[in-house]
Amino acid sequence: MTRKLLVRDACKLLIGWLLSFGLIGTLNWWLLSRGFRSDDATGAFAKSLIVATSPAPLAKIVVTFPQVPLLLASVARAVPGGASPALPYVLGALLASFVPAWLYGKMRREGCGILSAASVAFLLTIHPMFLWAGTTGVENAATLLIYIYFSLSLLRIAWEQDARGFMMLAITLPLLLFSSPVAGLLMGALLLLLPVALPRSMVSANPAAGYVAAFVPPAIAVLSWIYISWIFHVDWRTVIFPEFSKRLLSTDLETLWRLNAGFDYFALPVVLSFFAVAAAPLLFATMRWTGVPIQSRRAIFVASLAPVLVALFEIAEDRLSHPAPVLMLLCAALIAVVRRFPDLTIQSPFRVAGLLLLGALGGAAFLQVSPSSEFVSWQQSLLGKHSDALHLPERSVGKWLAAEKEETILDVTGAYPLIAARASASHLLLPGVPDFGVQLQANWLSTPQFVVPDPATAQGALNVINRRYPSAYSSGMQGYTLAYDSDGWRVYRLAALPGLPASVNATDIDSTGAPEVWIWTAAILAVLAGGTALLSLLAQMKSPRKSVLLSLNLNGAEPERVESAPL
Amino acid sequence: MLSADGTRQPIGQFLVEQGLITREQLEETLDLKQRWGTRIGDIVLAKGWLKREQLYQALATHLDTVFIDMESEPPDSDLFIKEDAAQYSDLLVLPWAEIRGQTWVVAADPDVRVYEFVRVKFGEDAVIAFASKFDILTQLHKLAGRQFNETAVHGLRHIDPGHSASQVFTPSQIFVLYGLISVSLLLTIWFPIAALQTLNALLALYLLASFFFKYLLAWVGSDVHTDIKATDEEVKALDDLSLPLYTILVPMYKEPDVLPILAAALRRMDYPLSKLDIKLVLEEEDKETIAAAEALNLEGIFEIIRVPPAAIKTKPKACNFALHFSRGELLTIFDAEDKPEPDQLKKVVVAFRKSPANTACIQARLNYYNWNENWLTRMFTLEYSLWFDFYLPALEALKVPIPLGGTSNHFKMDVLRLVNAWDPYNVTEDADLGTRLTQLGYRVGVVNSTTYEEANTSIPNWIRQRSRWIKGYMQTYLVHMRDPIGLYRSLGIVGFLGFQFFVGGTFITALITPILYGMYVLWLLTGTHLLDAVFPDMIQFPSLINLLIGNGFFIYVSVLGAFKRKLFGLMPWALTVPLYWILMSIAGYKALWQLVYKPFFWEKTAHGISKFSAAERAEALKPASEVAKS
Repeated sequence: MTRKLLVRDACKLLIGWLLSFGLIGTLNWWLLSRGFRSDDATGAFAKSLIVATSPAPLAKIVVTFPQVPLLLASVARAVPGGASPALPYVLGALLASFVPAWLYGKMRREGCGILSAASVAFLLTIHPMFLWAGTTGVENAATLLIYIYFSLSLLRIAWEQDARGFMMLAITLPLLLFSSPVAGLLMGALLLLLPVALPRSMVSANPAAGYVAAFVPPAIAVLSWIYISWIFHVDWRTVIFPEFSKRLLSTDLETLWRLNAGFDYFALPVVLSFFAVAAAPLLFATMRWTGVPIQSRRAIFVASLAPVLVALFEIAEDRLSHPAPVLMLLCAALIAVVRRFPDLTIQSPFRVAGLLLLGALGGAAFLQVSPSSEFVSWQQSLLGKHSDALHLPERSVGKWLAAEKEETILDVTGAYPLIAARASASHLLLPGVPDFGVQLQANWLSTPQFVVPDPATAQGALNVINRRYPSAYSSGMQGYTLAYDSDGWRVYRLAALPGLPASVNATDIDSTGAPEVWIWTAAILAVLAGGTALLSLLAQMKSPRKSVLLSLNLNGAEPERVESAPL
Repeated sequence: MLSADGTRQPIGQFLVEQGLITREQLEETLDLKQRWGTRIGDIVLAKGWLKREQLYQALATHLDTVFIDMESEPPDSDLFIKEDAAQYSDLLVLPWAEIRGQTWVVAADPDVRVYEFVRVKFGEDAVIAFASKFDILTQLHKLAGRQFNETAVHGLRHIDPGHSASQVFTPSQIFVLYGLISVSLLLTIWFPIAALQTLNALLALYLLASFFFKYLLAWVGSDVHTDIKATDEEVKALDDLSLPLYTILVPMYKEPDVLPILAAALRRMDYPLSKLDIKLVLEEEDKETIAAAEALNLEGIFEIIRVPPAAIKTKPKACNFALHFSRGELLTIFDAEDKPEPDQLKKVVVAFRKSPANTACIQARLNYYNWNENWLTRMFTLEYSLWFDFYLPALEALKVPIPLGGTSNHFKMDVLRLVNAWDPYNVTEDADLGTRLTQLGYRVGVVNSTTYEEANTSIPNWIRQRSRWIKGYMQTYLVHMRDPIGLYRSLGIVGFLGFQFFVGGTFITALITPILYGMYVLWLLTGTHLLDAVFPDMIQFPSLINLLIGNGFFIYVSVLGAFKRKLFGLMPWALTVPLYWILMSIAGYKALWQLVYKPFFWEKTAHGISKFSAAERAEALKPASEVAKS
């Protein structure tokens, strides 16, 4: 491909990115201005605050906890104005909006018409799970991108059967491991799917080799993580046995909750096998209906079955308290299949469009019945209603603590809204630093203040301070008095300390970040527009040499191979 | 010999009537003649149905000329003109004697060119007699051997001294090296911590950049579409008539045992036999192998080239010498223990035809047939799979100079001669030649055909071989870095960086990793804080990436090397590859020592020591009828 064609492609991509970012960015602002807050975005903001104010060196923390979204958020803080709660939303929109633009560009290059490609890109954009990923912060958006890449790698292994598919998988699995709560489930699904995806010659010769190829990278990642944890005096068992986790920067509560509810790694393949049998006919029927060529079916089957298995497993175990990761995984598989087999859209555009529309409607219906309060709040905001304020007690405690300079010990489980509302993690003694462990190993706490949630709640039950000192929430500790109580969260303070901060107004406790989102979105749109204009200019520039190359290329001959040796 | 009606009988018919070949053989010969486009004489020799002397005598009788047996009647050396030696070799002619004022010239293949040459050089009345081409070559050895040998050893050094490794370090390199070491020592004395930190940082960054470069190569090489694809259909579509004459050089030294294996492998080549010009390149002093080659009674396509002794005894010198006798349009080199895939030559022809005109060389992939013999052969196979199946196609795609492998590189003969062939002082002449070709504006490609070799089965033998390779890479690096700006201008930024990391990286990594691992093990075992000052955070993190992600990547990509090669049983073995790196470092230090004390010494690798070799040899020595049965 010539440089000029590359510039044109990049230009089209930028235009697509500009349009989709404009759409998702505006939607972000719309949601936030109606009171919606995403747990993930709040968590990302809180984590970036922790990194920024942690006594440990920044590099130590980001290496010790190699979470991709966190790294992005930490780097973005260096940009002027980056220390804003809006940042995770803007980054998320930027990442997610790249997907439709990329999809459109690739489909056009594969020969899809403008209308078909644009329709597919649009139908995927309005898929509720895509919108959800694009408007709830950088963690969700990054996870969606990783899921898409995961699906593409599986498709490549099954379809091209070359080493590139494994190299893609080698990137994806470690990333998933450190950023997705369903990574363990996906690995379990892979255990089943690999023999289907692998080259048949490999399966018949040495099926174990396929597992080596797929699982060596995550194994190396885990071992490396353990080693780094050891070097930096972090408990290495955390990654394997999360109950040992100090949860400084753990992804979310769900993983811990699932483990706490009796998750059994060894039962997973058995359950997945059962569902594989159940899901396969449905998938094959769908593929027949869309007219998938037979040789593509195996590839699509592999890529689609992984999220289906994970979803069914989650449903069967009644653990679908927050189905976002699983639904995003389905959405990613869909995007990957459309990307990899654009000929499906060319051959039967109406069936594909129908299927996508069905997926969007199904996603919307699923959100309606989901028990997640975050989903409910999101939908309310999307429809223009002022959504119910989430995590008010935590935010209230955070605002109260904002004026406090005394050192306060706090477990991060469920406390990210608190830290985000406080807008700083300074003077907080959090898991991950040696002093935190020292406090838990002693017979009683000795910090000036401590914060604990009600142990009757899920987060309270998992809180390590509550576990160590079971009566901390109800009766405090000797020498401490109750300083602040906010509907399930309590702050105890050494009685000897003078002066208490004033109580805060619960309805006006912190910024949603909506205005900043608007400013950032406008700024990024301007940058993208500038880039597009620049590339357009470059594409217009003519040089005689390039013109020749272009004409050769358009005539179907590859310029570098037009001459042949006189043999 | 004319028949009664005054016409000349066809040579095939003549051979049948003389009882030299059977009628069935004639029919087959005529069929092959039509398909291959070569002459009947070449075909019957290639098939081994006639001895050379028989054929040439028959030809002389048939053409009513004289056949000269030069073994009993050697040529008059006074008639030999040194300046014309190359043309004698090319045309297979030799002035033989002066008889009654007429110059008698012997020719093996008298055609229009030969007649023209003889007329110009020896006058209109010169007489042309027949001689076996093998006799002519033997006599050329005797008469021009010293001259050819001189060119083989000193040709490149005289014509293009900047590219000759005969001078290990140039004065300016010594000056720069001395300056760097002195300044580093002074800085270490004055500012010990800062100096060591800087050195450590430079090493860490170099390794990090090297890791990223190798990652890029592996990424590009992992794509199934990266390789040059000479498909089976394209090979089948080739017209044998259009295939060029192919010279195959097989340099050997004291390897009589593997000769039958090689001969069997070459016979299996899917290429018109009469278009093969196979040279067994043997050292004159290597009586044992020469005797073994003669005892095998090989067909006419095999020739023995006896390389005269010289101050240096290296494979490139032997090949340069043999080049004087090579007549193919294309030329390749196989090692004695090689088993190329039968369609390799045809695939190369396809690849050349599909490649740009400036493609001068196509490298076939190398791998090992005894891959599962022991741990070492497994590691070696993993390494070669990575090197030839991932890295080389990627280097080609990225237009980075390809350090050719020691065997199965296929050249256009005219280009090879134009660039003065191999550097006899470089012990990895192939790697050097690949870089030199790229510098001179030629391309080097990679073809999807494999030559199977015998992997080293013993560690000492492996270290000997590897130390030579690493020494050769050092020589190549030093030669091409004599003029770094010129190198940059000729290769471009990607090629220049690629050269630094691929050729330079090979020995630099082997040399520095033991130091880094040593420090690491010291810290691990003793928990010492001595090294803390040398590893501040800014250096510790790149070092950690090198240690964990870098090494993890190299292990994993070895797994994938076996996958791409479809040696699935080998994939789990890749997890032990770090132990192999230790051997690499041992060889690296031996190479460094040799670079200083014995720069041109050719560490000979013993072949035929695999447990498979005996069976291979027995199989190769079986009569054709038995082979067909089995």
